[in-house]
Amino acid sequence: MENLIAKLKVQIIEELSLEDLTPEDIQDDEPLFGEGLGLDSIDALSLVVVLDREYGIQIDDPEQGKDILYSIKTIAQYITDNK
Amino acid sequence: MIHRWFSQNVDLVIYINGTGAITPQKTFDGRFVFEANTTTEPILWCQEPDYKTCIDPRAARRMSRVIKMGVASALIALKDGGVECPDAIVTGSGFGCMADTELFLTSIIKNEEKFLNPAPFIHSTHNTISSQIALLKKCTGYNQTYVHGPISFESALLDGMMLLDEEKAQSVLVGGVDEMTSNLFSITSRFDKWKEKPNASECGFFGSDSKGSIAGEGSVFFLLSKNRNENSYGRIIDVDTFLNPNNQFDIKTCVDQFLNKAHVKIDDLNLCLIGKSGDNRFDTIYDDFISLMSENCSFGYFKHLCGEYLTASSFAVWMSAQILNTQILPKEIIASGGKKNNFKNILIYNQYRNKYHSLILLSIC
Amino acid sequence: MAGRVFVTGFGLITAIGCNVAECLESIEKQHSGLGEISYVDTQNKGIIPVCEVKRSDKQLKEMAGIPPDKIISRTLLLGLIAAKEAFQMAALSDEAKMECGLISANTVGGMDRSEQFYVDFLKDKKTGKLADVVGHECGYSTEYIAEKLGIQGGATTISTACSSSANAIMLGARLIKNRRIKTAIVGGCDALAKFTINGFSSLKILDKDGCKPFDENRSGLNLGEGAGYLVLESEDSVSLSGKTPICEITGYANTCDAYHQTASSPDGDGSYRAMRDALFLAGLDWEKIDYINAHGTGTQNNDLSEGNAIERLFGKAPLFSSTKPFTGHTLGAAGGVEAVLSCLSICKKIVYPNLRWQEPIKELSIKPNTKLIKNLSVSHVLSNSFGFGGNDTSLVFSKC
Repeated sequence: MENLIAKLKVQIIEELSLEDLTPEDIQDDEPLFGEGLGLDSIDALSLVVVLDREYGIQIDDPEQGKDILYSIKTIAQYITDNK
Repeated sequence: MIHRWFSQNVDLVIYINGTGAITPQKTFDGRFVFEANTTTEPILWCQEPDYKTCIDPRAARRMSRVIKMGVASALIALKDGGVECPDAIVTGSGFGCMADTELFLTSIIKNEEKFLNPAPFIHSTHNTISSQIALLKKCTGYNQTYVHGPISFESALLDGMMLLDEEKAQSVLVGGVDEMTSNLFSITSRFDKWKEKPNASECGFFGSDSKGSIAGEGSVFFLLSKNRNENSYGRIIDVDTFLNPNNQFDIKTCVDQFLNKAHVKIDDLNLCLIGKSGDNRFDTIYDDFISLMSENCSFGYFKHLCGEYLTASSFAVWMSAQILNTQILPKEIIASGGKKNNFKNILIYNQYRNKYHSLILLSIC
Repeated sequence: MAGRVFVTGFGLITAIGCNVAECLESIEKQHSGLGEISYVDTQNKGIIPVCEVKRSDKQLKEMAGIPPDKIISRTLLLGLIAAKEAFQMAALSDEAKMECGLISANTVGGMDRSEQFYVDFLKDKKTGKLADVVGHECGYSTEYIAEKLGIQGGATTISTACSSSANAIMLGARLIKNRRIKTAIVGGCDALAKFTINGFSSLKILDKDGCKPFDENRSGLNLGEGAGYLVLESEDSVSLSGKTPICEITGYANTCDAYHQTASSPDGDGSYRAMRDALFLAGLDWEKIDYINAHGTGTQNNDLSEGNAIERLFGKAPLFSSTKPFTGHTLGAAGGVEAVLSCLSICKKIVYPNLRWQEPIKELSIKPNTKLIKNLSVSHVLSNSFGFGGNDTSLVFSKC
């Protein structure tokens, strides 16, 4: 799980062009949207693409997506549970 | 010949109160006396600022290069004009956001329509620059984008000026933005647009008797207003476009009508900035134009500094504004003729492949 | 200084018909243009329904009078066909034609051809048919249409996503009102392309079935294609010709939501201001509006935002509906297509149903009109077009 979390942080930084951030800057439990990292709905869609492309996980329901994409930890957990 | 223009109200007094320019010269810090950027490649790439100093990094992270160019030059113009938020934003762009378009198109093809990140699609929308500026400045006023090839900027200018005439706005931000990309350069090369090997010296641009121009790019914004202030650079009097003139006589007719409408005589023109591009197939048209002018008039060039691109006339307007304001004629525009001083009226004449022609008239405040 | 602006001609081509009469007939029969993708080569065929014009490029060329072997964008063909219909209907005098301007709008330009070029180009930069990219930029189709119609009074192209052709109409009206030009043909065109189908699919705002604007269970939009143009004339031009205009453009406004790059503000601030300002210019109280042709895309975001704005402005809303269940969302052409439908509403005394609606949006108290209403006196129509980047435009058409 730790390796997955570390990998996710790198992928998110790259996919969302978060140039000023390093993986150490992103907390595992920190909310990604709204407060915390401050990502928005377009970023959410980009993250959904990452999950599909890298992990074969498809999220079609936006409501379900909100829970899964809440934090790095919740994303990692969902990937682990659905591999 | 098709003579077309959306007639302007020449009695309306419109000032340029702020400028912002990101161009192949180092103009982004407002410098006027610049170092000519000579090139051995047929592309003049922009000299860009550190965008972190002009755009909030959080907002800028998803912006592609041309959007950063557009937004940054607009913000510079607003700061220069002392306006926090304009009443209206009008942009002209020939090709729009090419890099984003290419990125999304490439991903569609390479990924066989799977795993598509929507961000470049969103940013490929032609009005992205106008709306990003509005988003950053919370500008809820009129917002427009013109995409009509070589007269995109002229269209934007006409609309901006009309807004001021209608009193729908007190301050209008008007800009011209276009980027070059290596794919766009490859494709347009196949249409014989560019020189194969430009001469290294700055005068070789004109001296070489060959077809093709040097490709360029740039983003230039102006803050226009009916109110003059101590920062006002000069006035924009009128803008005209006409298509497919058959001969020198047609061009003369358009120039005469344009100047008559503005109550300006040929003898009153102190400087003409000419869009000579180094392409021997089309540059002779400018020789015909020069022959129409009086001995009082000096002639200068701009495309060896910004390159050829669809909104290049915005760079000429920027240069004219600086010249009117400072009354200094930079040696880099390679001026000849006339007295080269006391600049009251500047006429810009630009044409693209002898199809699209435009005239822009500026004067001192 | 300000003059009146009259509509004296219109032209239309959409998924429900190749001209105004055919489109009107489909609406009266309540036939939507929704169907499977036929003419775009995409993996989305059979997955995403669209509202395609039911003609191949070859057939469109024949209708437009273009040689069959000429490589030309579908966007341009659609624009040419509708612009010609409008122009013929207006029957301008030779002198009026000489001074007529063209303001056209589109978002895709020649992308339907460029995307084919790119397949070869990506493999080898020396390949790809150059004729496929000649018409790539938006202004190309405008100039081509101008040349075919013999336009000499000025031409330009606007591209502001889904509000594009509404903005083109607004510019034409402003130019005439300010006496800069006497006649203008205004509107827009857009064809379906792999680029836009995939773009909207990646945004996850496409409905896999027929769209349901203003319905609680709506799940997205259906992409469409088409073109809609009006001919506008000044008061002097109309009285000189002795013709009876179809209706009048009495109001228009463009504002920016400045909320988000793609989403509208939940309260619909931008939409509210656009409608309010258009009504103000028209000198109309909100009660005078008989019908609103809403933007109504069927997305969660737009319909709530626009619905909120309508409620805030009108309180008890007039009859309103989205015609996008018929035509699909024609993107750059939407403003033009829906402007033609708004004019038809006035001159044919018809108000359109909002197809597929079943349940009101729970946050709103207003409900769209779901019936085809005929023989209704319609004096004033408000038409909305709201685009990406928060570009919001409203037009008011009035009986004259």
